Amino acid sequence: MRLFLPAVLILLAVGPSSYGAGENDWFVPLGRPPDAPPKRMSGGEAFPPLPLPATPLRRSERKRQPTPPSLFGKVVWGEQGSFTYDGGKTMQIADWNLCPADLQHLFNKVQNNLGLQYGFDDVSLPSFSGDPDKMALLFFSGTRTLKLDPQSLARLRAYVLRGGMLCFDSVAGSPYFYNSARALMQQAFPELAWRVVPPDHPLYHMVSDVNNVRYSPNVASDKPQLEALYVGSRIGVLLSKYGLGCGWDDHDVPLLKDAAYYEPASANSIGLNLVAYAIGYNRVGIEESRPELFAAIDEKTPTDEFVFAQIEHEGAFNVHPNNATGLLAKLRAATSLRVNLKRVVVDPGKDDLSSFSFLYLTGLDDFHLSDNAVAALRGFLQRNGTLLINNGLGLSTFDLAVRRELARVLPGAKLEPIPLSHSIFSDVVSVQKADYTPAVAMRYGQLATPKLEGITLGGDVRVIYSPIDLEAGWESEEYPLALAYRPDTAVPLGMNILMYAATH
Amino acid sequence: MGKACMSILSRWILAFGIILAIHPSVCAQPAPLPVAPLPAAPPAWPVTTAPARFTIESDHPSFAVPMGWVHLCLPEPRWAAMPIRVFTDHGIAVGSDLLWTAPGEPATLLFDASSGAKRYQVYLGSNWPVMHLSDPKAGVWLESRDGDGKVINSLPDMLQAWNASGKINGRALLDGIWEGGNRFGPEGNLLEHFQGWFQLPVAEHLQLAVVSSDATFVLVDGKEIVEWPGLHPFGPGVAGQHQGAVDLPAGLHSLDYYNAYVAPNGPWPPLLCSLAAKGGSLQSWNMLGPHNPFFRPIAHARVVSYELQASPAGSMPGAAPALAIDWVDQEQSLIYTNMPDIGLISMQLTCLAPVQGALTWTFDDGSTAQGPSVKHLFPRPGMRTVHLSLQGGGNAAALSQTISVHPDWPHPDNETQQLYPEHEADIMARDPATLPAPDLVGCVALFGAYQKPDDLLKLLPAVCAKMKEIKDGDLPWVKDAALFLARNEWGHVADETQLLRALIDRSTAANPSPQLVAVGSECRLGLAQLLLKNSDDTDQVRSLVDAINSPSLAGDEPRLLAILRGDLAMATGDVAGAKKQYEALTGPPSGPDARSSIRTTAKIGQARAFLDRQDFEAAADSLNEIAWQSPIEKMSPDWALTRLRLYQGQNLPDVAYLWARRLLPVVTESGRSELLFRLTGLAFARGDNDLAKKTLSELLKKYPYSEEAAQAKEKWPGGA
Repeated sequence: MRLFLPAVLILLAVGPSSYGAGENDWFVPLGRPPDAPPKRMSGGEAFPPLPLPATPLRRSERKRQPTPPSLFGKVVWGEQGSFTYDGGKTMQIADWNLCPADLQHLFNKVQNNLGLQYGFDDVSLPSFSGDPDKMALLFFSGTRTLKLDPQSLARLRAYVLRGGMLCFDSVAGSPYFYNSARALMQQAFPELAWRVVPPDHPLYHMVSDVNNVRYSPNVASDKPQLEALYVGSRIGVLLSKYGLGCGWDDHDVPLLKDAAYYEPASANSIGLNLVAYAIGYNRVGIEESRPELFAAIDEKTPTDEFVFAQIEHEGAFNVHPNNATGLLAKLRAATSLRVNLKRVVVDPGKDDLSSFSFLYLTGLDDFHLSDNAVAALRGFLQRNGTLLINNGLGLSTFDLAVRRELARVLPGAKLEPIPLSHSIFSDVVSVQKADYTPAVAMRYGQLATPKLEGITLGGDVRVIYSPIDLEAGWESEEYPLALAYRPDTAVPLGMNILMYAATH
Repeated sequence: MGKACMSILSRWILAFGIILAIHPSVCAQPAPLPVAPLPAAPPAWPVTTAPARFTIESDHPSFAVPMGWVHLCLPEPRWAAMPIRVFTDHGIAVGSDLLWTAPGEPATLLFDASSGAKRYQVYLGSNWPVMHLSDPKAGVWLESRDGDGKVINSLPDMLQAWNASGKINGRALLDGIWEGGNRFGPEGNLLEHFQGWFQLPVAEHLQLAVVSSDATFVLVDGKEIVEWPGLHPFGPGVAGQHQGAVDLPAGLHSLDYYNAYVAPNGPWPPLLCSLAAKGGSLQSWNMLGPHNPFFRPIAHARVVSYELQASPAGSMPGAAPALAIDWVDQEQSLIYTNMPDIGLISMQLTCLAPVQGALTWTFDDGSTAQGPSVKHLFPRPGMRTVHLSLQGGGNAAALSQTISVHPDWPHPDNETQQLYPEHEADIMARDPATLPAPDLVGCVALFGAYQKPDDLLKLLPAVCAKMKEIKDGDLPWVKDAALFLARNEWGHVADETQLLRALIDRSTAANPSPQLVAVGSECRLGLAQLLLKNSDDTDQVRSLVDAINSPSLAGDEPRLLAILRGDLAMATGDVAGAKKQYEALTGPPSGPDARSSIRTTAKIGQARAFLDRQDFEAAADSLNEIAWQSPIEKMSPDWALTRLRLYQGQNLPDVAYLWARRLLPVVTESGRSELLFRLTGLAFARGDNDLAKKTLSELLKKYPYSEEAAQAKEKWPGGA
């Protein structure tokens, strides 16, 4: 087997390969090898394809089938080369397209399984529009070190912050691609941290439940392993350490003994979920990227107004960037409470909390409070401040973190269910029944009443925790597969809580 | 095999034996056959009692083959029941037999072509005794019969079914076993029997492989060699999976191929009968298709002229027509090959008599043509009358011929049904008022199926004018076309309304048939939908809905009616009522629905993408699919506003205005700023300044920092 490098350099300067010797071993075709000779029949002599009589067919019902919209863009990057198989057959290969049929076959499966017609385009970053409304996801595939110039990184960042999504598939499980993609994205999003996508994240349940997977023999695990950078409530950047594309193409990786990848059935389940996630959260991303709208009057330093102070922490703390303003506007319109529409972001370990009577904490994943923050929060609560904690998307990782950190803030105190008779459920509007997203029924069964937990201090509930996403329902955006209240419940319940906090 | 395996040939001889028995001309002992050496000067008209003859030419003049066949378009239908005699153009009598005749169809005549002659004369209407074929064992004989739809799993069952079947659909002489579709009519339950003859110069090991739809059994010299029983598509046989072999001595052998095809209800595996062979004259596997060298060869001949005998001897019944015409299929525009009653069929018609003077063709669809050979497009299949008249040149003659116009069912050049543009243009160049009502309906059916709104709109006045002449059985075609027009955006609401009203009137009778009631109900539903979309006349819509006979609705129509009730509630401002109705049709959200919402999201996203591309049809399809499956989505801002954008993109401002107004109590939060902005523009354009000012005021007051407010300030700087 011989490898010739490089033939043409696509994005980078023309010249010798810029890759090291070790990673060049990974630069091999990952698509199907040349066709084997056809098998002979055993029961009788087979014959080659012969013409058959023409038969009358039905008329096509549609005059034409529209070209399906492009959902994914496969990003062109790296170098090209040629590869010669042992049998002498030569084929052209490229860093970005070592498994050429991955997306094509994935979208065939989307059509077959979901009944949705979507397509993909090859995308060159310099000419990419960057509009997530036109293309929901950019897909990078490769084995060697991913190299992107600063302009490309900036373009990708802008695209993600406008609602787009990036997906990096280390298609053969190569450490070169995985590590370089991880580092590049950290460079593009220094304010975000890589997170392991938890098992109960919607990504693993959009079409089917992906709880266990099968890998190639080199991977000793049966759990899916995807990492993400969260932007708002969604995954802005997704990274797969182990290969997906060859599984979408329904084959293994015969030319790389160290290859690490998902077997086709597992890859396909993840792939279908990924497509559904990209579809479902595309509008979410675009909506969440819009600037918060509040009046100039709200910019002034709050005095006697109710201020919505949101806690910044090391995790994804700004889950639904625009939704609080929507609730505050409704509260202002529906009650006599003087409400400031502008959220204030506070870091309890650093900022002075004495001017606030209400704090809001939300997140998607694990977070840790500093000792200073723990002390500040304890002081805030002891001064009769009210802390509302909302579990964004209702994920278990955040739930565990909340209970753990609350035990530090209020040692010995325990979250208890808040009874329906509590005034929190009736301060502004009586909320005795609850309308949840369908995913709640999948997790909890048929819930019909609101589900809040709280910690009471001095006779008043000072910590209110919603294990099901309340903030999602403060606007009418759909968050597919999120465990959330629907707006009909979330808005009045939210107003009740804010009113309770303002008046107690 | 005995009696059960009686050959096609024997059956045919038996059948024509009956003809011989009943025909008076052959009741007497037949005269000795005139087998004579090549005469020096052949008689000009050897069959003295034949009033007319065709001259035919073989397509294979260079070599002698055992048998030939020709299609004869007989100008006098009774001649099919009288002896037909064939002579070479050197005056040598050769054997012949009629293989198949049917009303309005050309007759299929077999003749002895072993002389190698190129031209033959075919004498018609005589009382001469029949001279049968001396060697009919050539080519492949096909006989097709009606099947009973039962699955056949064994050869005895096949033969039993064959013998039990009474109705013969047709017979043909072929040069191979290569059948795709039913050549004698629409696809249905069929039994096919091919019998072919092949010659082996030396002993051979013959291999045969079946490629077919449904049960097939192949026999050689009466012994079964290979079978593929049961129901199956042909695909799993294309690599030779079903094959058998036999060792055969030198000499002539027969091959029987039986097939029992069961017409499917849903999908479309068509009848396919074919056979691959290796051995004999075939050194490698070959399909035994047209022009294969496996079977003993046959020749095809064509008619080149028609003549009358000046003074035929004897007295034959009726006078011989002075003219004769030949008709052959050209192209066809069909909805489905399988549909016998609708289609535009183009035929070439040729006068076979060499005449002087002007020839005028008059067709029963109201059109005429001139010349010895014309191509004519029949607007609808059926038994059609063609009148040919000769004037001038000292001659006057006329012929009225009934011909069977039908789709060329298995025509291999027309696999995918289509509407030929020249056919469409031909029909649209005619005055619709001159088309007979059945033909008019045929065109309406075709243009409706092919979604040709402009053509339909042009035919529409004539259809309305002839509504009373349209048979009850044809009304569903007109109804389908009317609903196609009404349920899409063509901008001809008045015309569409007129047609639907005419159909409603036509379907109103004292004791209407169930079919009429159904047509009336569907048209009321269509009209109610049309009015609701285009007007505020909700009272009229309600009265139409109330008049619908719900039990008569079928298929999708009951759900359409239920959705319309929700639409009506929404149009009257009854948001709660609309929601209740839509939710009842959508079903309550439950666990799996958490996932089905992705599909809705995707479809709306696709609609937006199509809208961006100005592909309004695809956008409408996506939205309609959602509304059909989850009517409650009509009240979601995403769906409702995409629909509004679509109406505006389609340049339907009045519809958009009505829709936007109806959304005011529905889209109350997310998307309201866009709704207010768009409605303001629509209302100003329509002159509804009060509403425009009201919506503009709300937009600027409630959403002062929205994108739409900024645009509104720029567009209407005066504000509200």
